[in-house]
Amino acid sequence: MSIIFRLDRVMADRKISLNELAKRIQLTNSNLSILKTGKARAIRMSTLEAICRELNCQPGDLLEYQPDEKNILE
Amino acid sequence: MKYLGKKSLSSLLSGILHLSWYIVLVLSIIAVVMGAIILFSTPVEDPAALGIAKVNFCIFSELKNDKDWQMIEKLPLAVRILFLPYFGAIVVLLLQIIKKSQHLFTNFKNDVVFNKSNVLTISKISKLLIGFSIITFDFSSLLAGILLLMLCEIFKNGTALQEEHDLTV
Repeated sequence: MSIIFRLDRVMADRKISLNELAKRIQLTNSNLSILKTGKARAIRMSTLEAICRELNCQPGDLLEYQPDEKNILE
Repeated sequence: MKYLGKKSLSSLLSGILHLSWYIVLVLSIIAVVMGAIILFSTPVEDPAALGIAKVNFCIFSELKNDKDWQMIEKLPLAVRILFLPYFGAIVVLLLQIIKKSQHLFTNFKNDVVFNKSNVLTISKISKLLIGFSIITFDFSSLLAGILLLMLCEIFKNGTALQEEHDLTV
C-alpha cells in the first residue's frame, strides 16, 4: 500500500514504548503492533485522535504517501 | 441454544460426525466382504457348512427369492466386477463428506467461523455432494450441493469482511 504509517518514527522521537502507548490509548499491544508494522487496512478516527493526543502530533506527522513503483513506471 | 463455541450445537454435531465416520467405515468394510461373497462366490447348498461357507449359505438362502438378485445373477462376471468400483466410490465420497463436515463443525466449535480454511472446506463438501448426487441419482443431494456452493461464496465475502474488521485498528 502506498500510505505508510510512520508510528515507529514518531514514537522514537517522543521516546515512548509500544506498551506505554498502548496503555495510554487503551489499545491492545497486538493491535498497535498491526498499526506499527503497516499491516493495518484501516484506522478509526478515534484511534488516530488518541495517538495524536498522546504523541502530541498531527495526523500528517504519522501518515505518509509514497507512490508504488508500479505507479511511477506508468 | 448456542450454535457456535464449546458445549454448542456445533460441538454436538462434530462429535456425532466423528463417531459416524467410524461407523460408516466399519459398515463399508462389512459391505465389501458381503458384496464380494455375493458377487463372486458360488452358492453353498449345504446347511451344515461352517465359517465363510455358512455366511454364504445364509446370504444366498435370503436372496433366493429376490427378483433383483435373480437379475444380477444372470449378469456376466465382467459386469459384476463393475459393481465394486461403483460402491467403492460411493463409500469414499460419503466418508470424505463426513470427514470434511466434521472438520467444519470442529472449527465452528472453536469459534473459527469466517476463515479461509472454512471456505475451502465448504467448497470441497459442495463438490463432493454434487459428485455423490450424480453417482447415486439423488437430486436432494444435488440441491444441497448447489446450496452449499452458494454458501461458500457467502463465506468468502464474510471472510473478506472479517479480515477487514480484524485489520482495522
